[in-house]
Amino acid sequence: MRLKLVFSLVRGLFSGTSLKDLFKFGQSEGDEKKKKRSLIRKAGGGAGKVLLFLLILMALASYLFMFGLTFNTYEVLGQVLGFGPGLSLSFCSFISFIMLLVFSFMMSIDMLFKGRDLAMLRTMPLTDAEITVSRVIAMYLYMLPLHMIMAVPAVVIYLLYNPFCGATIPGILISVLVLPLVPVCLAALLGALTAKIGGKGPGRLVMQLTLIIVIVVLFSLLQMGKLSNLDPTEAASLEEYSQMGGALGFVASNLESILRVAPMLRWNASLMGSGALTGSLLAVGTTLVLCALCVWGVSSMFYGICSSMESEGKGRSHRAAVEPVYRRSSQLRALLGREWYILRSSSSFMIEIIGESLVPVLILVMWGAMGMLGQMTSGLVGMQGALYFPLIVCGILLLVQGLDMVSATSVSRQGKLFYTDRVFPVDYRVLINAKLLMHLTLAFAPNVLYTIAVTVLFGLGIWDMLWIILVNFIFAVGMCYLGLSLDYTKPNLTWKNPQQAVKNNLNGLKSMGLCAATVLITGGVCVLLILKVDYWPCYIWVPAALTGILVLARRFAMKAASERLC
Amino acid sequence: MRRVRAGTVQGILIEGEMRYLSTMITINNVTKTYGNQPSPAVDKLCLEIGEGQIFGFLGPNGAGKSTTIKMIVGILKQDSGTITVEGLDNVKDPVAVKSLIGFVPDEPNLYEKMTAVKYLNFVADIYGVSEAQRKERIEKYAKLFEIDRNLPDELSSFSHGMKQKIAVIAAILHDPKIIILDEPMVGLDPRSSFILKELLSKLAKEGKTVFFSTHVMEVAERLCDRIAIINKGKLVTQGTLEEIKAMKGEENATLEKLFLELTGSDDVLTEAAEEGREEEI
Ligand SMILES: Nc1ncnc2c1ncn2[C@@H]1O[C@H](COP(=O)(O)OP(=O)(O)O)[C@@H](O)[C@H]1O
Ligand SMILES: [Mg+2]
Repeated sequence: MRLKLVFSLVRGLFSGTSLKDLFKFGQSEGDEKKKKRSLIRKAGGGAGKVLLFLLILMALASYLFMFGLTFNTYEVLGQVLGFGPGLSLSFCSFISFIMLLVFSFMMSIDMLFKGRDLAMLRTMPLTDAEITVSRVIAMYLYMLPLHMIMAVPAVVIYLLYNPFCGATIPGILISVLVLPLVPVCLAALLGALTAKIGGKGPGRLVMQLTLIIVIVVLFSLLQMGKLSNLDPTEAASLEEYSQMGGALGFVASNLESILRVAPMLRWNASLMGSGALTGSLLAVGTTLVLCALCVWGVSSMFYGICSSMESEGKGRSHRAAVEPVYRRSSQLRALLGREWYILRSSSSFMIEIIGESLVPVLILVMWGAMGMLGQMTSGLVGMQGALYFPLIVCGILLLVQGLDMVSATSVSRQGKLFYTDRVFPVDYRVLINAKLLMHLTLAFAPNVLYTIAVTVLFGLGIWDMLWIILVNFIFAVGMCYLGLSLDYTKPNLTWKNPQQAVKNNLNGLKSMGLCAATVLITGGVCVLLILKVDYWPCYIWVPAALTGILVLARRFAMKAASERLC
Repeated sequence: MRRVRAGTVQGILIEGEMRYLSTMITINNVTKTYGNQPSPAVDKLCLEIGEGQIFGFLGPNGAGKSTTIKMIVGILKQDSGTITVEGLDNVKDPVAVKSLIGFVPDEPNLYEKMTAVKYLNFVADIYGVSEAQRKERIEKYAKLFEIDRNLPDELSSFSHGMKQKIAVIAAILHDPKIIILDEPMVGLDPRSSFILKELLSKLAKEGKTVFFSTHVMEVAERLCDRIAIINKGKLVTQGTLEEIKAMKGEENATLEKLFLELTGSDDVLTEAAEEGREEEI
């Protein structure tokens, strides 16, 4: 294994992406007259950048705060209930383990066996192990930010409650940097096994999705078994609190039993406080052995999988009749069909989008694991009678919908074939409408289902439901335009690995930040209205504000699209 | 020396233009600089392409052929100058201009996981071709290029040449007035390249305008009514082959020789000539 080579391979995978790009507007292709930009526009762009930066920071801060709060509960409970110190860190490692396992499994097959650079790399004097290790490292680096969002608050909470000693720093470093290797390597192995066993394209995709759902469901079952002890309908506040403590205790003990399966997640954190390095050494040792085994497994299958991928799916399509069908449809329908085609053309895109519709379920499960679901439901049920209750439900649904990146990556997904949109005699508004329809099917339609489910669950009125659906619709259209304006302004069209068009696409992140900020600000005004005036103006304010944003976003999208397309 | 001659070419051009009923594409003083390049890829280019002509666009690698073509078809926007197609401005009226053109890019980038039929159907939808017409044309041209048996196959299974053929069919599917091709012969086997040449002649006889770039002199010599040669983004000369020969005063020269003389730096050519002499000695 030539490590230097491996690192240059990793660098190759990341070339062209840097954090700096997050705040860079305009395009890299250089085919636009950027030189002629006026000073005023530059200044405006600067203010926009700062604003965007602040909004993303705000969204990030709210996530960090949410995690911090939860870890705080765990650390206190762990110490009170006698689980020893460091439960916050163990719990963080556990939650992150599940999240990273799911998300890195989603990307594993594309990342490992499908990059366009592989055809070239495989003809070079590189060993399969070297290529595999470079890909696994890249997966790890992709996952690290997600892990950080959880690990940073956990470390802060740990330091607040535990004395500092010699083992603290190595312990923290291990929690932050070494432990996330475990789920990534496991996911790589799972991905390789799926690719090996799953057979050709569609079968493999089904298997991949099934595995993801199995992981999520297993994980939820583990938690729900314990949570069902909590009966949220009892309203007495004192009882409720003791019950909540009990529920969290259950979750904690449950956690202990789960962590026995992956003990390195616990050893490090629990033994850190004792000042001895045994825990850390044990954790690092087991992690490295496990990862080495996984990577060895993947690299031994690498050649076979790559070769079979190379020869698959190239031939007569079975479904197409021998007699070709010629059916005419409108431009809009043809373009919508193309959007679907692009989505289906890469399992990476498919999984990303289906993963996104799974996000609400994942979030629910996360909350369940954190004991927050009980807290939430009892809280919500307590508020159920309140007149502003539909507003809260609506806000949550909007937040969930805001996580969708269908539109914010839709131009990038077109990749090097984007130029055809400039050649076709199609008005850019038709192209935008096709993408809007796509967005509505993928992001808004599931949301209607969630709305109906929530309505039934909490017994909301039909008018409330219709209002929530209306607001969600306005939001969906607005956020679609916003995502499109981001992605038309600076698309990533030169990707070699489809992963880069979605996961690695900063426009998705920007759009999520902006969506979260929109909901938070609109909601903030609602809180003020409820406190100072009454609840009912909110029912007018929310759709009005979101419509305003829609109109603005539409203008941006049209401008960005017309500039990029003609 | 060359510059003076280029001046005379312009004069001939104006006379030459009179022979044609109308100009189809007018490129007027067009300049394009890529953001990261110091000098323009296309520099104050003027060209007129008449209706029903086969116009050959010649130049060495990196001369600016693809850049010019990309500006005509709408992939790139010119920094300055105007391009009109049948009197329509390509910036003010892009959709109308684009529907007049069929374009074959230098690389046949297609939606790999579509079947050939599906892809052609998609393109036909975009250009609004009726069902009867698309059926007739797809079948006719697929038979002509001998890929009718491959139509139900996924494009990822096609070789470069087969993809190129699909790209050509996709470009002429809507029976455009203008067909623009960027190095269309690259990757085609001799038989297919012959078929394509015949097809282009036939389309021109039907009154279509054909504009294509190439660096294969034989193709240009045999096929084109008019030729333009560019080098480093600047127009070197244009006219019929006879006009160019007459202008250089070399009636018997091949197009290859003229091309090398017009586009090479003088040093290289004299050096080559001297080397040749040394060898003779
Ligand atoms: N996307 C691009 N970015 C920067 N420079 C480019 C780009 N495309 C082409 N060029 C440059 O423009 C010049 C003309 O290129 P091109 O039009 O492709 O030449 P040709 O097709 O005649 O071979 C070349 O010097 C090339 O390096
Ligand atoms: Mg070229």
